[in-house]
Amino acid sequence: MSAVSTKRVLLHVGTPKTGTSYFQEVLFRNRALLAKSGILYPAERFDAHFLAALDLMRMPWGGLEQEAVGAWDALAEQVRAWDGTAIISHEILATASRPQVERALASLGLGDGTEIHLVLSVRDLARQIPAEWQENIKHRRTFKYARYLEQIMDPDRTSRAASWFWGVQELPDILDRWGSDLPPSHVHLVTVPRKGAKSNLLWERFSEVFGLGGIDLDLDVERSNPSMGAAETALLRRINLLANKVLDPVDYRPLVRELLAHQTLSQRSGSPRLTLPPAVHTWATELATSWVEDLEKREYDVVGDLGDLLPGPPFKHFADPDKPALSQVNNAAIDVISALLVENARLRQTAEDRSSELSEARAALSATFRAKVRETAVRRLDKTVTGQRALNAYRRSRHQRDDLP
Amino acid sequence: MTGDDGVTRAWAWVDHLRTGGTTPWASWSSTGIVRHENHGSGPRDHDLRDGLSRLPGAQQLELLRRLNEAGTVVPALAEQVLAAAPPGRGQPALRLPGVGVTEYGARPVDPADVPADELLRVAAGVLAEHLVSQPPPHPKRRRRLPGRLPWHRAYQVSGNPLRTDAVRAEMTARGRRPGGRNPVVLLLGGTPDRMVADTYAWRILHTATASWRWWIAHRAGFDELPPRANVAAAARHWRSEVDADRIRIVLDDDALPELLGVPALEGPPSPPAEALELIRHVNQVLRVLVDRERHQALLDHDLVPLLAGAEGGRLVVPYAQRRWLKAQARRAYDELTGAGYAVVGDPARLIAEPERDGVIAPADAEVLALAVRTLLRAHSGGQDGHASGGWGDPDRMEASKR
Repeated sequence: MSAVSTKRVLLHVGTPKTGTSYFQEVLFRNRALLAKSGILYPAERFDAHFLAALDLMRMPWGGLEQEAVGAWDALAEQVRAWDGTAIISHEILATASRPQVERALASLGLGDGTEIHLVLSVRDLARQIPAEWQENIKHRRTFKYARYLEQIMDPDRTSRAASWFWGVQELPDILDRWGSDLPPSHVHLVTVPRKGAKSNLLWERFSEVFGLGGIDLDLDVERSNPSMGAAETALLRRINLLANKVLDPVDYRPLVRELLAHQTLSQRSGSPRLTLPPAVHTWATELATSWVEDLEKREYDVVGDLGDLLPGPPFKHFADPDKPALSQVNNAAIDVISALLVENARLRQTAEDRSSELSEARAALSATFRAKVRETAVRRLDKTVTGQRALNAYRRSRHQRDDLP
Repeated sequence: MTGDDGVTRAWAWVDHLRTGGTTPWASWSSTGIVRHENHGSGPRDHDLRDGLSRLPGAQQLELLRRLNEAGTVVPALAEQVLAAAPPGRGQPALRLPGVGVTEYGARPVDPADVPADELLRVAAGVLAEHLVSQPPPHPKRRRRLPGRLPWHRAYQVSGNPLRTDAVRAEMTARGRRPGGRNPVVLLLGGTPDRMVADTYAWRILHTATASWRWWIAHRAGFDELPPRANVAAAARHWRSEVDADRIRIVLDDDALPELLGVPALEGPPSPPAEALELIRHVNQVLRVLVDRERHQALLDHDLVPLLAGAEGGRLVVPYAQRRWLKAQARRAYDELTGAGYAVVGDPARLIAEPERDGVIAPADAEVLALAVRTLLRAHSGGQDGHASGGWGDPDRMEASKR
């Protein structure tokens, strides 16, 4: 897809855990450079498209939704006003319902001469299912892995976890909801390469489909959504069981998800990866095979290989996060305690710094206030003869006092 | 039945529901297509695939059928329900059994079997969208209230927030704003379970979205009473502002008029549990639709008045938190009686056993029934009115903000 030719929108609607955080951070960091190349990434803040998605789907998200009021319409207005290519990207859009999709596409100019392209980045189920359970745990959930697998494999899909999982991961259904009003050539599937592929292959695929080749983008960004091992996820689930009772969502996000999960537990190495139990792996492979057969018939533009959606062979040893090795959990817990101590020390230092600054500010204010009082008194005394005499007497006494040895 | 037949039958049912029909899907056999002026959004002449993909979900269809059962549904409401995108997390649009064949998505569901919480999700979304679509009220010319006269007693009220708001509103309307020099401070207390339940109700009436069970468990997890339900903490605060002998712990509502020097005061508002739960669900949608100020205005002027006549049981403390609450109440009792504050009423109320008769978790079916009645009332232009002077009387709510 070339970068600029007509007024067009590239709408990336998922799926989660396909490198979306990294992709969005690159676009956000480089938005000025992109604009010079005729590509709009309309975002004043990193999570602007996330907020727009919350608004579109009327989705509560631990209080963040209050910052999302009107965000979709504002985003769509910027896109409509842009003469060139605009990119919108957020993975939770995958779960939008049909009426929400219709509203979104209409607001972006479908039918008004704007060329809308749908992009869906996709990864095999054997990696997506454990990753989605882990995401659930990072969002305060407490169900065990086995229970989660039962819920998503239940054909009725009545649980909230199953509704969400299939809403963002059932590729043919997502494409039915989002792609029905678009020609197949305007629907692009970006497959996440299999494990062991060269490290920048996924970026190359994103770059190709979004027409970013030839733009000298800064790709050295920090933000990503790293994964935890089986023991670390098991530990976090146990922390949730207690923390949920005492932590508000607004505190959970920075303390548990950011500090513990992303900055501490995700940085550990050595504990076994989260994988699928062998029986579930077989089931996932069969399901993926049927999806691939269906998708091959749809004539979409595939960037990568639909074969990437077929799970690789199962791991020889399945590390069950419901029965983790206690030594591994203990080691992870010690890292967590250490991280909390360091954070606590940092906060104490910050509080002390603020306290000192406050004292200095109070002293400065007080001095200013005393000077102001003196100035006002002198000005008033100076207006009358009696006052001038009193002032002179005061000054003489000050002078004599200052002359004292 | 072929796929074509199923889709045609489904669209005929949509038309049936649009015109006030109440036949359940399982009993619906007609494939006759009824055409109507003005509301023909259904793709009657479209191809099968399009007709299937644009068919409203089982949730929307069943909600419309239940609205038809409950009263007269105006066309605008019917269209709003059929086009509704259920807000937030939950089931996707559920398909009707026997209509088309697709391999993906959740299993088709007989609309009669759609859980009440899913119907409630749609109803709350439709209600929120309706509230937001109403033009904001013209700013009322503010009535000039009489000022305080020299012989009026200076006072402050604090404590139970529902009661406090009501007292402030009524006193302000009488020209007796709180404040003044050396006021008497009336701390409105009560039984511990009523204090926490009323505090929760007050929060829901002020845009909060936490469920009662979560909220009370959360407070217990912190092991402290919510500030607005904590009379001992309020007394501590006021002790630093006024002399201790100016503070009264008021546990007898009947004594309030005399303490304030007025002939009578209305009783405290007492929102039923189902009404609070419906407001909570609507709050979840309004939080992402409008800013906080508009949200509060929509509650005060539109939603709460619509629910003012609602009846039902009151919230009671779940069994799991009763022991915690009793311990907290005992601590507050010891502090208040030990400090020697004047108590108006029976101090034993401070440590009364929590009530057991009431609602711990409002049933989704009951809340849904209330949502259905409220939607019909909202779209009737409020012609059946609301119980003026009830717990949601807008004049009282308005005055309490001044």
